[in-house]
Amino acid sequence: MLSELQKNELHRLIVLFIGNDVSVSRSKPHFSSATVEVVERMIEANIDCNQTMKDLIAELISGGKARSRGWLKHALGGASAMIERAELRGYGCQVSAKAKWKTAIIVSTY
Amino acid sequence: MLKKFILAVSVALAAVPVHGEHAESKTTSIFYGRFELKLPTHQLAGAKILSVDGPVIKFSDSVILAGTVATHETLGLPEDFELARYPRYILGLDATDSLPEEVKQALDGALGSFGIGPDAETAEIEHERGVVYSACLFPSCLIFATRPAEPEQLLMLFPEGFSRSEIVGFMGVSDAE
Repeated sequence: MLSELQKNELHRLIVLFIGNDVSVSRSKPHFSSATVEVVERMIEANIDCNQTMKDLIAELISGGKARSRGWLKHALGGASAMIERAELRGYGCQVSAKAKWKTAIIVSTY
Repeated sequence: MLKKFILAVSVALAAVPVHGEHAESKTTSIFYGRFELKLPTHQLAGAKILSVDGPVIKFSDSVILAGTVATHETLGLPEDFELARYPRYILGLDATDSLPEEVKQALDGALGSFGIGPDAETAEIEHERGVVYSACLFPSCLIFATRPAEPEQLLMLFPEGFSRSEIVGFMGVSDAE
C-alpha cells in the first residue's frame, strides 16, 4: 500500500521519463508495489538518457542507501526535493520505449 | 483520418475452431491494427483483457501479452524514415551511421531502453507476409513485425513470460522459417 505522497512522487518520476500521459495519470490512485517495481525497471533501463537523470538516480539511490532490487520503494516518500530539482533543470527523458513502459505501468494497476 | 484508422486497434475475440470440436484446438484472434495473433482460446480463461495503446492480455502477474501498432508519429521519426528498417536499427542489425544525427541518437542504444539487456538472443525470421524480429532475454521479449504491404506501420509486442517461439507461433510464423 503506497501513501499519497509515494504515489505522487512515483507519478512525477514517470513524467520525467516518459512525459505526461493522461491514461497513466488516471491510473495514479491505483499505483501499487507492482507499479514501483515496473518504474524501477524503467529507470534502470533508461538511466543513461541524460545527465540530469543520472544525477537524480544517484541521489535517489543514495537516499535509499543501496542499489539493490527495491531501492525505489525505499526512496519514495522522501524524494520530492530531488525530483523537483530534476524537474527544474529541464525536460527528462522521452524514451523510445515509451509504449512499453506506459503499458507496463498501467497493467500493474490491474 | 488514415492515421486514425491505422492506429485504431481492434480486438476481435472471435473464436475460430481450427480442427473442429476439440476445445484445445480453438484459437482466438487478437488484432493489432491489421496484424493478427491467434491464441489458444483455452489459455484465455481467467485472463484480464484491457486496452492501453493496444490490446493487453494479463494471464497472471508475470505472464502478459501487450503491444501496439507504431507509426512514424508515435515513434517520433521523420516521415521519410523507412519504418521497416526501425527494428533493424534497434536490434543493431544495421548501422545508424548514415542517419541524421537526431534520429541516430534516438536509435543508438534504444534496445536497452526497452529493458532488454545486451545478452538478449536476437532473431530475424522472414516469412511470406513480411519479417518478424525478436530480442528475448527471458522473461522479457521485444518483438517487431513489418510487412511490405504496411509500410506506414509496424507491430511492436512486449510479451512477458513467453518464449520467442510461442509468440511467433501466435503470429502464424514458424520459428524455423
